[in-house]
Amino acid sequence: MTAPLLEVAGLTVSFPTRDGLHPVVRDVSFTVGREKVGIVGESGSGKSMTARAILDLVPPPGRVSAARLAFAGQDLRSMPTRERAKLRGKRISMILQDPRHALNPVMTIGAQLAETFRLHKGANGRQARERSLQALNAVHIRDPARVVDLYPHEISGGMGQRVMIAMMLAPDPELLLADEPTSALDATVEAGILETLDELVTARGMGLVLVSHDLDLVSAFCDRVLVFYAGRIVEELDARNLRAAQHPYTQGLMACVPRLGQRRTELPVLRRDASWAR
Amino acid sequence: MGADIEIRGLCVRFGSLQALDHVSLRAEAGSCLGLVGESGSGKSTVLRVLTGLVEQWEGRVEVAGRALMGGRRDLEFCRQVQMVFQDPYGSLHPRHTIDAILDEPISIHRLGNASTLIPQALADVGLPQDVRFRYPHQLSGGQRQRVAVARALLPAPSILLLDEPTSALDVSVQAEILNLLVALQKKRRLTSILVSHNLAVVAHMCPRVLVMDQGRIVEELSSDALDAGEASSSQARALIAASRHARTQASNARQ
Repeated sequence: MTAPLLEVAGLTVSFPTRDGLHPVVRDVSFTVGREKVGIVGESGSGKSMTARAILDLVPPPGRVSAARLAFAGQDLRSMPTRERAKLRGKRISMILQDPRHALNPVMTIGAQLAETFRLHKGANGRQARERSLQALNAVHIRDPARVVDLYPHEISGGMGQRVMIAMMLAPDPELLLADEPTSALDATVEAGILETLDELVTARGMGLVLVSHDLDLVSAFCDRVLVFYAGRIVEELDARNLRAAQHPYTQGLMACVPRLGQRRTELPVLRRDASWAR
Repeated sequence: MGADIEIRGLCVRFGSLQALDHVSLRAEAGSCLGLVGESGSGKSTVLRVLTGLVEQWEGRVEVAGRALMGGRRDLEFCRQVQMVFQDPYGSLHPRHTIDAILDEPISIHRLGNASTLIPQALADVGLPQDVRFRYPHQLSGGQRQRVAVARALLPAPSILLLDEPTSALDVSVQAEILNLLVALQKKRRLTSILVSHNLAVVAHMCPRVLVMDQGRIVEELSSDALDAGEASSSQARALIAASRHARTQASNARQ
């Protein structure tokens, strides 16, 4: 048994405010192997901050502390900043919510992708372009030869997200963090993107952490689900046993979604209990 | 009491793009009509034509028996037809208090005494009274959307246009806003058009749903047909599959 890909124990992220340090992630512990783990919670529950803390991308003045934060057995806390930056992108990468903000608007898709290959794989100009074409093909972009020369504003949101996935998978990372990768997209496009992501992650035997507020979606694509509430993990579930959820928050989250074929005059509203946040 | 909306042969062009291509629809007084489609299918453009935000269009649009022209709308039309937008972060003035935001329709339409109307409007949408003198950034997304709904309802409109009213909200908050909209629509017998890309949301609120694609209406479905998954057009089937996707996959894994 080798060390799990990612080990997180006692992770706390806090921001200084007028009334002292305000924790947004509180004492969170979990591990990720070569599997798909979903993180679910509403806005402000600390799910994105957890992902950012793993990559050392918590914006100042945020403070991160952890009892253990390790990637493939290496301790991330004691690692020099420079070493950690090398890890980022190369072995752990992250897909952000909105491709329109995450792609460089003044560089063509091809140039951005090629840059990744040159930086991480030491490819020369022609190799980089060739590999970019292959990468676009792998994420099911039709006619990659045309798309490489387009600018981000000339492609749709769904295509942009596919480009992001291609770019993030280019250095063959071992762990991929996806922070709401489809929230900015249409429902019909969402399914295709997630299928592609699932296919590539499974084929390469990578670890995936999928952050989302949509419990249905996360449970369909992940093996395990961590439910966040007020900066804490309130429940950890096998995605197949979602129905067996014990925590009232998880049950509430599942009940409040309108579904086809399930007519209700009034949707049950999540009743928050102050004790959940404790 | 609501009023009829009738649209016949509506065409809109933006440059070389045919945004709407002979769209005809009818929403009876007091009913709720759903418009679904992917982004770029023209569903929001229909609402923008109705409210006068699109000036160049062809066809015939009638609201409460009166034909509309171009992009000009009179004060009475603006009182009768109100709209709630997608993003409550963008649709409320960041430097106005909730009191000032809600006072605006009152002074524009000379509705009467703000000191009694504003507390009533807040109560109608289930907001606590202490929200009145706060700024939008001090409220949560769901509370902001409630303020936007309260503002739309203040002039006692007969028609309420809803452009993706819950897309920017968390699922847990979405249920609250949907319940509020359903209750208000029933109580005030508003004629509403709900635009969304989420089929389940539309089916929850609207007994009649129109599916749009590339500026055209491709199918009309009842919410019963949607529940049963009966759709003939490929676009409608794709939308149904998308809204069920998560669960079919999960059930596959379970087997």
